Amino acid sequence: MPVKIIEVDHLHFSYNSIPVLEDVSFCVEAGSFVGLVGPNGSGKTTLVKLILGLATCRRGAIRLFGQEISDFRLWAKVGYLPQSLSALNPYFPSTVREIVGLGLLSGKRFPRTVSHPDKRVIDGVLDLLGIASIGDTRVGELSGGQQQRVLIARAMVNKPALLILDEPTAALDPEARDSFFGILKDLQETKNTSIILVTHDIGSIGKYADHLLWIDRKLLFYGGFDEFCKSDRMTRLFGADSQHIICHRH
Amino acid sequence: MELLEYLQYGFIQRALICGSFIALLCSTLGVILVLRRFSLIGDGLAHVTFGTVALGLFFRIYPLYVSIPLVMLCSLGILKLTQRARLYGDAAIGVVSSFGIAGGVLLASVAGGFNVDLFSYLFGNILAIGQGEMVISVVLSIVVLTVILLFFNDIFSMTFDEEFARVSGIGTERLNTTLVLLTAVTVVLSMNVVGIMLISALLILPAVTALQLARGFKDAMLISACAALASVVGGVFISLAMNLPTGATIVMTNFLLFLTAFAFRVARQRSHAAKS
Repeated sequence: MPVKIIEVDHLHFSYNSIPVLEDVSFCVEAGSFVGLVGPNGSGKTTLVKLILGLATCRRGAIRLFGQEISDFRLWAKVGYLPQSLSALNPYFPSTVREIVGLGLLSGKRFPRTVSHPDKRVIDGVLDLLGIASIGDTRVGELSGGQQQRVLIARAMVNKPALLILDEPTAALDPEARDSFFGILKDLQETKNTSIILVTHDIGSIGKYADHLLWIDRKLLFYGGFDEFCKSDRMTRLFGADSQHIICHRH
Repeated sequence: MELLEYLQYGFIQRALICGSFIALLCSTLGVILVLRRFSLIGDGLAHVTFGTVALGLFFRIYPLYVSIPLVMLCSLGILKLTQRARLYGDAAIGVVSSFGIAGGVLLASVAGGFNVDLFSYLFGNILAIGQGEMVISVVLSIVVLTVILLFFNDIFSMTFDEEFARVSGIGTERLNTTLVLLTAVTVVLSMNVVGIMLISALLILPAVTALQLARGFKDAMLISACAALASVVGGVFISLAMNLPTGATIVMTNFLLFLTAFAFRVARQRSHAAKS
């Protein structure tokens, strides 16, 4: 029986009495690669924040790895890339290695320190993402694409069982984006990592994700990508020509 | 008199020991506060300290004993105002600090003036620090520095990206509370070194000096600590040699170090640009 990594059950969320999410229910199984898509303001980032316990839901339930989110403590199993790259302080005194090392803290007990063997792990992930040469560079001196890769490395360094990435490819060039998607696909296939990737780029995500979670305040579609491509719903959402654009892998 | 001869005097020894511990404390906390864009909390809490000193003098209780708990309480007030009253940090600091100053002025007025010179608290007198004050300052400084060291990486993670720190299992709410309480203790202890009016300089200047030069977070802490120590030791000796007020001299030394670091960074940037 497949292991359930995320269970969202009749979730409702409002901000200042304005409904943001209404009656959203779905379940992500181990090893799934889910593309979370929807228009601006559809509640994608809010859903991610609720799943990670960064916002509190008052109606409905969320379970991570079988535990209620309010009781969840196994943060070493979760890797997260926030959306807010623009919030990064360019004057922050920190090297790439130091920032990536922060991703290892979730697996540590008090007092959390980055040990010598950890440095090899950090170098490994920097190498994987092609940023080993900038390990000692101050993050503020990097381009947007390089900073994005540093934050991706921070999310991946702990080898999490669940990776949640909020618009990770926004600052990447097409070559870096394809390489990054390839790394994710490899993690999914070799390590059985579950991935939730928030994106507007439904064309690219279709090449890699096996599930599609479409929300616009309500859950519009959740299922296999192949199933979505064959469904009438896709035509209703994107128009008659969408089959070729979105489902080009098929 | 040669500068080293000053060291044989107890009041100079106490000034240097106490000043050095406070310098370490302010410089490490300062880096965190500046990077979290919360550096004016030092100024706000200093104003609150003015009110609590007046309260201590009014009830004839040693001001340090009144100030530490009350300023800690007000620091929590600033935090709660930021979280609950939908106020930005600077507005919350403004609310609490004006309350502190107004309270102090009212108490001084009701008391018809104090026997102790309130002016000495405003501008500090590091050379008048007694044995008891030195012991309290050193012990509390060690406690605060130990907490910072134990939670160093948690604080680093939270300072860089609070959301990510929460998803790493770091109790950011508790850590934020701890940090503002530590800041409150630091502000009260710094009162004797540079005075209420100049406390924020001791928190901000070494930190911004370090930010001109440091590549990493640990480097920033170390450079900030060195700059603060140099300015306290240098400031004490310069003030003795030139017969200047010690607190103000410490702050001016800090400012000169900042200008030097700034000039060094600009020169380094120009040299890199010329090479490339």
